[in-house]
Amino acid sequence: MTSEQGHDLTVNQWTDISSRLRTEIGEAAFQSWIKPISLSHRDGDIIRITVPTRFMSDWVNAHYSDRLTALWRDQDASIKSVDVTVLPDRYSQARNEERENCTALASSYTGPNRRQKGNSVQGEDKASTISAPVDPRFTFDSFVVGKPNEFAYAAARRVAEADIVPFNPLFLYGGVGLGKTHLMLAVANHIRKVSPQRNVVYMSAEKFMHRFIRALQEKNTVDFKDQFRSVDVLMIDDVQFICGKESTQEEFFHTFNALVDQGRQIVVSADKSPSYLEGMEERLVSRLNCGLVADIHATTYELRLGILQSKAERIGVEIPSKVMEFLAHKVTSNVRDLEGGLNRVVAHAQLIGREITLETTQEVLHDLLRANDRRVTIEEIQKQVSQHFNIRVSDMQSARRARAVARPRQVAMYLAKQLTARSLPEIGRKFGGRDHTTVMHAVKRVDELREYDPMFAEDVELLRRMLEG
Amino acid sequence: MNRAHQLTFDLVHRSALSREDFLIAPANQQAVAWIDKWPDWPSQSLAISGPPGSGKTHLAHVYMAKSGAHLIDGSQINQINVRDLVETNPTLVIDNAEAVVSEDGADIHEENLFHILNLLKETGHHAVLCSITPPARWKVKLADLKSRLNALTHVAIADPDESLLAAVMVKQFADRQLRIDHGVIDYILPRMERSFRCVHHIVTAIDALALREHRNITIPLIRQVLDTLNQEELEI
Amino acid sequence: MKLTIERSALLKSLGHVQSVVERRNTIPILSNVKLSARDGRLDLNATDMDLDIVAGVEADISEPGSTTAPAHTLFEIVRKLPEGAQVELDASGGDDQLVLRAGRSRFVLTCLPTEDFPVMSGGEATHSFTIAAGELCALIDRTKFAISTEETRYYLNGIYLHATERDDTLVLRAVATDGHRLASVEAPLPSGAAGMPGVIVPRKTVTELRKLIEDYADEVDVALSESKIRFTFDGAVMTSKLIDGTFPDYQRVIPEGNDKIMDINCRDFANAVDRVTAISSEKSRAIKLKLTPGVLLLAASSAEHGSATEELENDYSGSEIEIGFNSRYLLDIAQQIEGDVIRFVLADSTSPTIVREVEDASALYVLMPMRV
Repeated sequence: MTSEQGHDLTVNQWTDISSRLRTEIGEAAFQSWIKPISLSHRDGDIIRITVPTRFMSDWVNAHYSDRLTALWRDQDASIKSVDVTVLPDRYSQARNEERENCTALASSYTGPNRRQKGNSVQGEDKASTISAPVDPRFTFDSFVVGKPNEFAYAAARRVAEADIVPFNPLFLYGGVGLGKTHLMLAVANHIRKVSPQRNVVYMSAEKFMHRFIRALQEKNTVDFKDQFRSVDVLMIDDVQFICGKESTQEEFFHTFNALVDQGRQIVVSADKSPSYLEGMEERLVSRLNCGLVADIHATTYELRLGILQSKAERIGVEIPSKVMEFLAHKVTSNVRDLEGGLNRVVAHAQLIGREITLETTQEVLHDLLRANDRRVTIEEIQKQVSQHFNIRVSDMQSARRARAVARPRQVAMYLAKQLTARSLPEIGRKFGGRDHTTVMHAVKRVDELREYDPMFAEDVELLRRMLEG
Repeated sequence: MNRAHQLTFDLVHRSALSREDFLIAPANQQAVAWIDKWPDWPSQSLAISGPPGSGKTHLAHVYMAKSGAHLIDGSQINQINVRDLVETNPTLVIDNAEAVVSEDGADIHEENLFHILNLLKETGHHAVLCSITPPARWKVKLADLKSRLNALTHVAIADPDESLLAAVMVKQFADRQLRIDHGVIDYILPRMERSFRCVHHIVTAIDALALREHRNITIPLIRQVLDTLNQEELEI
Repeated sequence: MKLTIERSALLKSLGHVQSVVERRNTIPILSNVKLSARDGRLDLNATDMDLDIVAGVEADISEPGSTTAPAHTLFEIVRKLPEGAQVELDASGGDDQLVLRAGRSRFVLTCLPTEDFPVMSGGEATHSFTIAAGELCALIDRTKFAISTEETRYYLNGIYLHATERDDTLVLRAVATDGHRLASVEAPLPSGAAGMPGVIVPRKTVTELRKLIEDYADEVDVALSESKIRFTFDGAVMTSKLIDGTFPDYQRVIPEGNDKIMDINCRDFANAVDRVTAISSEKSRAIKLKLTPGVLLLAASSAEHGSATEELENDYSGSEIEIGFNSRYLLDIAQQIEGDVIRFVLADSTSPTIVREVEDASALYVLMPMRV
């Protein structure tokens, strides 16, 4: 036999051994400890394996070296031992290479966005480069109209479709995440499509301020003014962010007047109506008020359901109607929360490769649907379990060993271990000063009973669900 | 402690923070799956929440090694130009992200985080946010930020099971280059609070006592540490 | 194998290697010393799998060959032979027994096959240099006391040897610490040692090495490979595994801002500490130093024995400070001081204190106080 054949044989044996270990120790332990092991070579009667880190070698030595040796000897009785060594270098090297690849990946991944930005400005004059990128997915078609937003929708459409400015400015306001930005982007997308020659600039108030301050620092305010005063449609999102910023407001005021004088369209959004914007200069407030002020109201159940259906259709994912009804019912705050919630559920399902169900939805949006994860206390467990089995709470601490109280007590200890982080000695103390080994025994006993008594298992599961709320 | 006792040097240790050092268990496998999946993410940001010591920082470092991400602490967000931060870094890690809301009257933090999230959308750049509580539960005042936090792709690291606790403990001893017998872990496990935080407390206390008294790490020493910790807990 | 050798030459070489052999061994072959005779030379080899020593000595070989014999037994026999005796070692009857004849004594030792004796490879040397035995001794002697004996903390169970620089001069520095005190001693950097990785040489290795180069006036060749260190000198080769750990960033524990300086006569100080400590409890060995301008007060007390104080003159001019130390640690360090004056550089009663010679900047000791 050549050494190469010998090595192939060893590799095959290792494949067998690791798959046996996989069934013996379970998937999680296998993934953590066995999978990272590399077979190095056979060295006489010693099998040499390597692991990437020191603590892994400690752990593999402590837990699996006997078993590994035994399994090898099953394959080949001449094997005396399995030797574990740490081989970090190859890994760290690989890691560095991986890092470089990934950095390359990262920049290429951001590529499409950059290109998209590039495309949108192609052939337009330099002024439009100041616009933030406009996501082409936000159109009037993708906006779901309902009672709460139909007025704002109609006003935005009017601005987008009109040849001459119908009202200046259009001021859209409403609570967060109700679709103001969507409407503004829809206006931009529409105009860019039907009249590509018109210079449409969309940006957040924060960006307007940032550019202005930079222009001041670079003593380049002339260019700044030129850029803004040559636009045909200026849309400033979240104008409340320049509240209290006097010089920015002043500049915005002048830009605003210059554009209005030239008959250019302005669209502004905020979280409140102009008069309620604190820290906004009086003269600017009156300017903002003098066009059309349209508000978007909080969503209704019907609108939310409509939004979810339309969204699901757009992303092309099958979502059970029960899940959509649940979301429309539970996530009432705003559209962003609603769509965000749906996105999270879809992303999770794709990550773990399972279908979307009501259960996974509740699990994924756990943090959103419930304000906190209050931990169950041992006392609550004792109370609930006593009620369920119809015994006195004091029996949880009593020394009575009759089965009618001993079994519920064991169930309560079991649940205390599952649902709280308390140490076993402490759980024991709460059950009438019992020893931690008693708790361990109870846990083991309940596990055994669950195994062969489905009724009992269901009881325990029911109690757990009640306690977890 | 009243008895005269020896003070010790502060011998710092370094935690192994590579991907291979991360212990995958049911409690954290989803978080790991998201990091492994990068850059194939459905959105710009990923929020990872979990109790102290659950491996968030470790995962963040795994992500940094993978993506070359720049690391900042949530408490620094008010001291930087957020636009420069996001524009110059294709990938970011914001550790301790809930620091943006924990300080009183720190509206500026909230506003800056809000801009960061918007800028990520605008630039297509990526960020990982680490926090103890899920972002959807932070008490933010800025409604715009609130709804963006609610919409973040979020994964929680759950409470550890026993095998993960044991593994984390082995790792923490290894990080401190302490050679321990496996019997020691078996002794501690059923006697401790089953949390990541407690693993860290116990390992730190064992290390300190062994160093102070120049003792090997044995069951009697462990017993002494557990008694002391219990005592402290009772006093609180 | 058959040879004749003078008793004292054999004893010296056996003495070199036999102390490596552990008293109790689960692997029988490790209790043996390997004897190889060839070309007018007898090589003796002992190992504990971590540390391997080969010592060579001239001998009159009549039949080349090799075997392994129980190291301690062989050593005891040779030691008890009369001075000047000629020793004959004969394994020509096969390698399962060794016959030793000297004068009218005859011993038959049970042997184990040479092939079973483990061979330690040195690995490929990445750095090698030559250092005077005296300098190597000084590095070991002045740091060894601070090596940790806590087995759990394996990364401190040796001397950390590395190339570094101080005040723009390249040095070879040896550092040892047990978490309570630290010793750092330097020698000029030998050529060839530049760029060497920092290595942790195990306690047993430095102890054995120190014994072997005790009276050796010449130079020692040192070679480093990735996981081993090899010392060659006086016909002997010592190969040792290095401790596979990371030595802590010890610079962090050497304080830089300490501003309270006290110079004091070293011998007087050590004697006073020794006297006062007679009263302190065996376990804690705590002693309190109170520094005031002009006077250093040493005090110790224990519930069982009472209390003691002693005053020493000093040149201290800083503000008053009271600080506790383990007296044994103070004596250990005082013992390393060669000049007349010992210098303490302190910050406060809970921070690390620097102890050093006034004249010699190449050695530095850092000591953590006790809370008393």
